[in-house]
Amino acid sequence: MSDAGRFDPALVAAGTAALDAMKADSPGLVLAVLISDDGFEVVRTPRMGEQDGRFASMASSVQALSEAVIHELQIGKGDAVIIQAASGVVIQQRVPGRSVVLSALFRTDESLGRCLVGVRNCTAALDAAISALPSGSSITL
Amino acid sequence: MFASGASEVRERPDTVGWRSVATAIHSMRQLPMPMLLTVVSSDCEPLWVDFSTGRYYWERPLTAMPEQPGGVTVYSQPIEAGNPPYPWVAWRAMDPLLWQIGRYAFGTDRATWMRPGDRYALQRWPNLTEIPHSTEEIRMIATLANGYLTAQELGLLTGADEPTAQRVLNMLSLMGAVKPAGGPLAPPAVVAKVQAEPQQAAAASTSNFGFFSRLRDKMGGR
Amino acid sequence: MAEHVILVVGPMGAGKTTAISALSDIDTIRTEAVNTERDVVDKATTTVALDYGEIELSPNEKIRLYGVPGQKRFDFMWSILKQRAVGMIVLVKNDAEDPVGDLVAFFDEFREIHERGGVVVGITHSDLAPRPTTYEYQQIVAERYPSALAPVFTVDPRSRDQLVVMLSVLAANVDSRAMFLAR
Ligand SMILES: Nc1nc2c(ncn2[C@@H]2O[C@H](COP(=O)(O)OP(=O)(O)O)[C@@H](O)[C@H]2O)c(=O)[nH]1
Ligand SMILES: [Mg+2]
Repeated sequence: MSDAGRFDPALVAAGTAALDAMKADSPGLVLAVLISDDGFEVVRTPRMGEQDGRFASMASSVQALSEAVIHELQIGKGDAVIIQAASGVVIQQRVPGRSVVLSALFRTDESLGRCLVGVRNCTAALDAAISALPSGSSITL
Repeated sequence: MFASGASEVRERPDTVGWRSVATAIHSMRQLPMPMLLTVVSSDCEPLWVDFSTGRYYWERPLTAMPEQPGGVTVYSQPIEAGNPPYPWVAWRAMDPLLWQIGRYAFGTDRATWMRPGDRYALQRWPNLTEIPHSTEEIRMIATLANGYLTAQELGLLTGADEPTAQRVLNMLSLMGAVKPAGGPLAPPAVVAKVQAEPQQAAAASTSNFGFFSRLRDKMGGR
Repeated sequence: MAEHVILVVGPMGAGKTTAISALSDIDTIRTEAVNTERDVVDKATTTVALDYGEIELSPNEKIRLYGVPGQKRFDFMWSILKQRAVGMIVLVKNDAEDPVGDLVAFFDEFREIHERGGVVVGITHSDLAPRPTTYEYQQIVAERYPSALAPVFTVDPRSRDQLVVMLSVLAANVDSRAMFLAR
């Protein structure tokens, strides 16, 4: 299920542009999903694939648990969540100060450093795009 | 326990007032048609109990219920199903009322409709967040939730004395919260086990309810 | 170290997070996120992974309280959390559209916990919606789950005293059951 209908079309458009740009820059990117904090999918690239919203919910739980750990250990501002597996790496990052999170799956032939740079560039672009939206101020923490 | 002659008299309080109400309630529970019970006493405002919706109305809060009301008369009348009486008054759920009447009606004697040695098991939990109750009463109700027991066995498993266990059975029975065993039943195995270990029987309240006891110690509750 | 894992389950807005923070000894661990479903339940934030609280019964005995997210889309968290649980508190929001359906859905989903330990049902928001009554819920539970005999209480999760009653009954049930099963 795509939940795009519940979000501001301008946010969906900005997300689409940012995710497409990341895809163009990162050949190892398999899937990128922009999710709301409470686990709904705003937009994804490529535009097909998993359709039940399960990944979005899981990504939101993972993000929240990671931030709970950061808070518990008092280790400062959170940056990225990295889940490394034999045939894929998931990197998650909150769009700074916003109630949306980017979660991206890369193939392992892409270096971790490059993946991180790709994700960081994308969330920065998203932040700039959201700031320019009339609804931007409501997409904050 | 009682020092003076005067308090000895109170050892067996005259509970005839609530006793007659309890008996009427119990027999009304067996009737198939919806009934309204009205209790009039020289000491307090009239009390209405509507069995069709399981509610009562009394101007008096239950905390001000007299232990021995004087001059009690009980009236009952059939009412129309689906057309509850006196819709303009603030009716309240019946459980707390019956729990309290059950406490006073028979003291620690057996309720008139119960027979010695009958076994009872819980069939529904009273709404304990709305009913004043003790730690011992929670233990007894939880025990009845798992087997058919006599008052004596209930006391044995929970570390209570038999009269106290009988009183809890009276209260639950008046509420329709326990059911009698359909026929003769052997006691559950745990009863023989506890009987065989008198040491354990004496400490049944803590040895059989360790988790519960430690939780009550920690969180409070009488 | 003895531990008793107890889950608090129920639909969004029932009062699970409120209940866990009222009962816990420690600062609870929360995973609240901005709620974008204000049309479903009008509250600012919602739990997306778990709530966690602890009650220390003694230096080597703890109750671990886990609150689950209420929405079905987080059911993977339900599967993770239910594995170690010996008991659960089901909270039902009485002013929701279909509170009886909610109770049945969560009872079904977590029935293995009932089979293993204890279940207590708490009807919240009954100050706003008095019906269905605890009596009506008990009849439904008795019909659907004849072996369950689950206690159904009204509870306001903002009241610690009422929550203590629920937790006490859960513990007494776990003990009583163990007593009857012991040989
Ligand atoms: N009026 C009323 N409010 C309640 C009751 N129980 C919980 N609340 C409120 O309902 C809101 C939702 O509670 P929350 O703990 O976030 O629910 P959760 O989604 O189950 O975690 C909070 O603002 C509570 O204070 C109740 O019985 N009555
Ligand atoms: Mg919550």
